[in-house]
Amino acid sequence: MAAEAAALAARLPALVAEAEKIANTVALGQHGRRRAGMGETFWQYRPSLPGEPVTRIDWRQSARSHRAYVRETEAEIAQTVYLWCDLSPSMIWSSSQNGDTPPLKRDRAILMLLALATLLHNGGERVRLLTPRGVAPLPAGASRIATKLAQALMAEQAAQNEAPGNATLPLAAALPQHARLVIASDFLCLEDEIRSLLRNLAAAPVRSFLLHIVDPAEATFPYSGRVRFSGAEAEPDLILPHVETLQRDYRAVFAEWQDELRALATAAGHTLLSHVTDQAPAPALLALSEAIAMRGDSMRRGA
Amino acid sequence: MVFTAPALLAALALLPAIWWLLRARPPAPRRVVFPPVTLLLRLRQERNDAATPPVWLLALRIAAATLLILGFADPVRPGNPMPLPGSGTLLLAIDDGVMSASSWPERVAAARMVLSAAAHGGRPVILLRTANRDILATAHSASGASKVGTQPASLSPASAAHAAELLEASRPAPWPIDRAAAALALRSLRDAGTSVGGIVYISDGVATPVAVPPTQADSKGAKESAAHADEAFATALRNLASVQEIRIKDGSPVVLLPRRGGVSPENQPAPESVPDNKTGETNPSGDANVVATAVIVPDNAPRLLRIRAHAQDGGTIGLSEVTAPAFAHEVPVPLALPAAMRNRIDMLTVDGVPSAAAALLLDEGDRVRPVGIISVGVSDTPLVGPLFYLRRALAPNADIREGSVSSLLSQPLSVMIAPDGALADSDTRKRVAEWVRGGGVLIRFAGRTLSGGGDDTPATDSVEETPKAPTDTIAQSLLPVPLLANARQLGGAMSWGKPQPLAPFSSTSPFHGLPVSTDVSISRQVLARPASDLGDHSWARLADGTPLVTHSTLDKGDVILFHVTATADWSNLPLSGLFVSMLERLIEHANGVDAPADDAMLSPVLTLDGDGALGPPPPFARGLAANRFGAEVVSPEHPPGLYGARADRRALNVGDTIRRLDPLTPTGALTDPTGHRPDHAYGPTLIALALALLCVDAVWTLALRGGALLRVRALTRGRRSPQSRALRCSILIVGGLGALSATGGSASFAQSPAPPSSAPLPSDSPVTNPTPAKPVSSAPDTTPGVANAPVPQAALETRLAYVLTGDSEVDTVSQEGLQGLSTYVNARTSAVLGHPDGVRPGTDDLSYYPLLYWPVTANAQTTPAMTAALTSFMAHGGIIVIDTQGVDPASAPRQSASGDDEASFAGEAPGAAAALRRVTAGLPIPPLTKLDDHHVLAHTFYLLHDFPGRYAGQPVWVAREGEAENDDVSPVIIGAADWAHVWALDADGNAPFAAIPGGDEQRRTAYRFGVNAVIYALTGNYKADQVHVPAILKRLGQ
Repeated sequence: MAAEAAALAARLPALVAEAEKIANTVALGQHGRRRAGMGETFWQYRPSLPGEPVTRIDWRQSARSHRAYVRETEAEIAQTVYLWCDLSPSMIWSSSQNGDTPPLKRDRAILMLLALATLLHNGGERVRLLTPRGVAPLPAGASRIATKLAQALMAEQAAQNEAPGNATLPLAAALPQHARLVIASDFLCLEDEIRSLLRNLAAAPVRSFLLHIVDPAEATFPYSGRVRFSGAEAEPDLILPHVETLQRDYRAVFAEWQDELRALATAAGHTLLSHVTDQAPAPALLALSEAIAMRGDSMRRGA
Repeated sequence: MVFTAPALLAALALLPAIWWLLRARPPAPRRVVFPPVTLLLRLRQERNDAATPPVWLLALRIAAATLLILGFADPVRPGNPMPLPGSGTLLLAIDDGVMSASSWPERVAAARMVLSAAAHGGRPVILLRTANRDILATAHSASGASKVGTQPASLSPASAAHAAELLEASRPAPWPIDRAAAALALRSLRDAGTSVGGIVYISDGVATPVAVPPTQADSKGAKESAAHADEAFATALRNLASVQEIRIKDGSPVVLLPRRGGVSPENQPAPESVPDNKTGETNPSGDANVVATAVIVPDNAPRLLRIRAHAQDGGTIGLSEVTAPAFAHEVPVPLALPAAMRNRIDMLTVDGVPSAAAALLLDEGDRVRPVGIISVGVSDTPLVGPLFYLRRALAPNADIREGSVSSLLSQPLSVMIAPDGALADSDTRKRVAEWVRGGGVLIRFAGRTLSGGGDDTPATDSVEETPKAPTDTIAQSLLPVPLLANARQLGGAMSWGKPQPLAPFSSTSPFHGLPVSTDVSISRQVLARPASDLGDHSWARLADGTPLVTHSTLDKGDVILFHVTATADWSNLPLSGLFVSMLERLIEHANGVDAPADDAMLSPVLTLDGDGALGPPPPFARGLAANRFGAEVVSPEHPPGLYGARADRRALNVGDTIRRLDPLTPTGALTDPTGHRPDHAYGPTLIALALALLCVDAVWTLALRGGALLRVRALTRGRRSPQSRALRCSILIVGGLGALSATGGSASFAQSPAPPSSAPLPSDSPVTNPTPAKPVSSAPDTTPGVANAPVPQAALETRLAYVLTGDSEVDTVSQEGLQGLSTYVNARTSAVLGHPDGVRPGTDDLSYYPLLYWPVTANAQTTPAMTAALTSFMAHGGIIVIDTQGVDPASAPRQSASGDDEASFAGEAPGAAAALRRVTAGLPIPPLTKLDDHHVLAHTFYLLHDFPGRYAGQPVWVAREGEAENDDVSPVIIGAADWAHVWALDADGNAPFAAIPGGDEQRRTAYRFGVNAVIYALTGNYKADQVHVPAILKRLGQ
């Protein structure tokens, strides 16, 4: 696992670069409405009203004219989007024997999250990384959000290596109300855990967007012969003969499971998107960002 | 079908156990990491997970086990044994000499049958191999010491199985059998009281051939002794017991003989057509193509022979099919090949007759004529070196050695080639003349030295025409015809003539028949003095009739002169293909190597084994005296093969002494071995098959499991499915084991010796061969020790150099003189010179220096290395200033008489003239002229009209202008004016030596001459063009 963390560290710069590239492509197509020159927290100057405390007057601005102005900051309605990346061992797996296609599920998840973070950051949203120990502090040194997140992820992966914990799903209690949460995971855990998490999130309320990362081998089951299957985590082994005859059954089972997941998510008001790792990340990112924008708008309207 | 160990068949009862084991332990599954393994749990209830082994696996393993059990039970098919004569001990005599090699497998099969029958009867066997070394050695010692003779150890009764082992291990010998020796052995056997119940004799059917050693005049006696040997052997056999003789019908022996006819046996067998020296014309007679003679046993049906000619590397370069008529004893083998190809024949073999007798090795001397080239200083310079074209023209057809005359004369040579200037020394000429008288052919090339008389040939001074015998003149000058002093220039700016083409070759010329290419033209040549017999000496002429190649015989040898250079400056002949053909003709025309007919021992290098394949010599082979080749009968001590070092390699062939093969009269009742066969054991075949099946099983199981090993390999070699690899592996293994079982199964016992791998025909230079002496290049290494020496300072800046004489006073003055000159040059010109160096030519590398100052003292001596280094220096553009530092009083009177009488005083240098002649003896000094103010040297920097040194008025000699060599730059400046002293500056900048008669004016002029010489050395003929500027301007103005 330590070697895995080192390998991740080696890959992160490339992931950051690619994520920003993808984000740029998507951003050019979607947004274009950035407010120019406005600080994040400044909202407006308004004439001071009688009876207002003198301390609120912005003297610098008031000195330019005859009236006293008050500097108003923007109301704290900018949404913070929390990102959760599943770093459990089952994510560090790819069906490819040697090459990069398809990549590790974790790598693809990180790529998607970094790209999404860049996109959101450019759109004026706040992005934070959620870890099993709560919201991760972003390092102050780096300027770009993707780099910050990457560094935080690296630290998180290292922490995972030292003290393995439940890394598949986040804790709902760590989130403030009305936050938005993006979970990139393969959701290979007990169904009850998923159900309870989604319920808790809905109760918070926290809107969440589930990005289901799927390896192509997990979807198509391209094996044959007599095979001993062993899981990436602590699952018991399973020996199956004539595996090639089980393909159709397995695909049915897999589709059924995906449907269950989607039903769970929809029931709690969340959104589930599936992404197979041998496909291009950009379309999936577009779909995800659209979903966040739409839900965000509807939520804002609802609020 | 009989089982030798039927009890083992009970193990077949274990077969069901295998089936049970397979059911109990199915093959382990492949392991795959699959994260959503929990999803698979939903599939489980649909399949039942019974581990049934595949049917094919079960069948495979049971079949393998069955085969193993059957194999170890050792089934044997009983044979049909041969009836054997008598009872009790059986004597099996087998001819394993050179005549039986062609049908050796059949012979061994017959012998095996006899032994199998003997084994059935439980009879002990005595195996007598008539070409066995023991037998031969015993016979020799017996005949030498006492007639009693000891019984050879091998001639004792043993079991049939032991005899069979001996037989399987034996190979046919590459020497003939000796029936006389075998008869002696049989007699000693009888004397020892060994009882023999019956005899089977597997004979080669050939009577002992009559050896024809040419030295043995009494061939009748030889014939009688040969017949006597056969008779004695037959009698000895019959005296022991009743004899049954087996003859193998097919594979009758063939002996290849070196080509006979006209060539007496003392001469080496020469496959090439023999040139006739008198007319110099090769005789393309009808049998010129015959390379060998095939001797066969007469038969009543014609026989087709395919004779294959092998090159050195073993490749076939020719194939000849001859049909021997019925009842013929011999048939000539023609092989139509160009001479160049025929030269490359190394060995002749007969297809389908693997035998040392049917392999004819050709001598080294048969093909490649060793040609020596006398190397002079700068042989290697591309395009202008005198040996450049020669080497390329000779390389395809001749074995070239290079070196100095003495090193060349120490080795056998057919032709010696002397480029211009190589024979300038009269002592050398004398030695070469001796060699030519002994039968050598000397080919000379003309050139500057020959035309300018730099070589003090008698041709130039033979005006008085001393009445000498012509051969003496030739021996002295080594020129076939007397020459005129000057070269003839054909064509050029100042000549009406045009370069001349060649005339067709006359019929008496060895070049007759060569096409004269029209693009060959001669622009310069040396001329022969007209004489009445000049036409007889000319082998090639120009179109206007002047001879181009002349020759003359000198006792047994020839002296041939090309009237042009071997480089492309006088003519373009060396560039043409005609040159190659002419040299080839000349070399063919030359006598071959004088075969070393002494008794020098030549050690065996490569010998033939019984199958006619070349290989390293056996340990018991001994050297053979050179004069015994062609007469020595092949024997264990002298197996057929190649003897001696590469330079004088000789071939000893079986056919050397055989002229005729006759059938042998049968010794006993003839028996035909066909129809009988020995027992055949199936055990090894079955076991090999079982092992093959187990291998297939192992490979398949591995592939099924997708073992890590296989998968890693499959990945590294690209995406290849393990199954296909496994399939391939298994096919390979089955194939290999199949071959194994084929060999193992044919042998009737398990410990059959591996058949000796027949060695391929090795290339000519095996590792055991002592490396032949490389052609010694006498050109000294001009850069000794440069490889690890630091960079010499002279390479970093331009420096003048002087030759160290060993006289410290002279050397100091030289150093100071050149230092003074360098300072002067640095001050006056843009040339920048460093400190001068003292050099020793031949030891130091001269290639950095443009100008070499050489004070010649009276006791100056040169070494060949020094001469060679200076020659190389001059040829590469260096200029040597030779200064005698004074006038020899011996030659002074001639000087004063020649005109410049007011010239005054010059220092005396007694002995300098002789020293000058001595030290320049081997140098290619061009024709000289006196330096005047028209010479470029008078213009290169200052315009000079006289060239004083310390002594004024001394003449200065430079190369004559108008020679095409070296861009018209004189390689030497020879004078006596003692420049070093007048140039010399001591450490304080003062001139320590006075100029005589004196004055700063003379010193200044001397410095200016020095500057001109340096600039001349640095710029060559650059200023020569400027000389003509006034004339050109004048012409333009008109």
